[in-house]
Amino acid sequence: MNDATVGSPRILELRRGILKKNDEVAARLRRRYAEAGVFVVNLVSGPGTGKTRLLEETLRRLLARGAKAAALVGDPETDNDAQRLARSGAPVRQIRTRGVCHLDAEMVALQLDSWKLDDAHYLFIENVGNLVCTTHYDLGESLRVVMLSVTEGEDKPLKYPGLFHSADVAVITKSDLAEACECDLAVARKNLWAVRPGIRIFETSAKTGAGMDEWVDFLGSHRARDNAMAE
Amino acid sequence: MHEFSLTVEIAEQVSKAAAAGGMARVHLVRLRIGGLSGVSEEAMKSCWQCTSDDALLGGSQLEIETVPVTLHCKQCRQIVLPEPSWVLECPQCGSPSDDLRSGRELELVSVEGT
Repeated sequence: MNDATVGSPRILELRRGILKKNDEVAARLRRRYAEAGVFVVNLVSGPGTGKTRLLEETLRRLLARGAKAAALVGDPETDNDAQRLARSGAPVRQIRTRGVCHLDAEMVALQLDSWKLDDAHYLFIENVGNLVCTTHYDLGESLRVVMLSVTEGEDKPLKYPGLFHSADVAVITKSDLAEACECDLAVARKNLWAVRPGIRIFETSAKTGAGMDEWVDFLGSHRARDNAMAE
Repeated sequence: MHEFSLTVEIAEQVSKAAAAGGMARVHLVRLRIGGLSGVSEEAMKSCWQCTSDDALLGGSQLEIETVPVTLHCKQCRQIVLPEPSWVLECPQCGSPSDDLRSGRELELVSVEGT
């Protein structure tokens, strides 16, 4: 730098993503998952939607079908969810974010460095319960699943369009409570399709098992399709 | 408050780029933020004040261009602005469209400084 440049205003053009670093780590994770044949699902929703309950039941069913599935769960504090998920018999790890409202690709990469998952068929990442902050962070997943419970009100997708729009599929949870909560499932579907036209929607109750077979079948066929495309 | 995490990323990238470009002081950082990104301009600006407190970034401003949500409507064969912006259907013919052409940007555009 010579003296003439000091003091004169200049513009540096950058034109890059604010989350470039996260996206690069996510891209590396995605390659790594693909090479190992691990189908990775990122579960996002608000707190209390039933992510852990759905995942517990999903893991149990996949394991019963002979699949190998593991779960990584993020929460600001406690390992309560990891303890619940471990009851399914699947290997589980907890990320305590210490107050951070989302998981990022680096947090996931740090876990994977010390966790041999190459023989797993599925890895489920249960994100921190948050309908805004989780939107932008790619974790290298194959499938982003947004969840909406009948207890939350049908208009959640309209209130948080960014997250619902970022998802590949939607799962409506606690369908057994729809009537008691006066949740109109047709309206919930309409609102999901308003912010994410055409998104595939599953209606489930992990408690009664309603819709669970269809959901687990879908995961299996989606994984098979991804693997076929990779070969 | 994901805006804080975003400003931390911006501060890191801007500091590196400014230092590499021989800047001693950054005055302005330009961003483009999509209307569907769920980012609050106000929150970004207050978070920026906390994250930009060193000699290089101190006192610098964020200039945020909000990018409107636009869709391609297959029926009307044109780019349209949905209304409200988060209901992804053509305001002219009412057909839903998931062919988003803008609105999810989180972009660091440029840095101005001396």
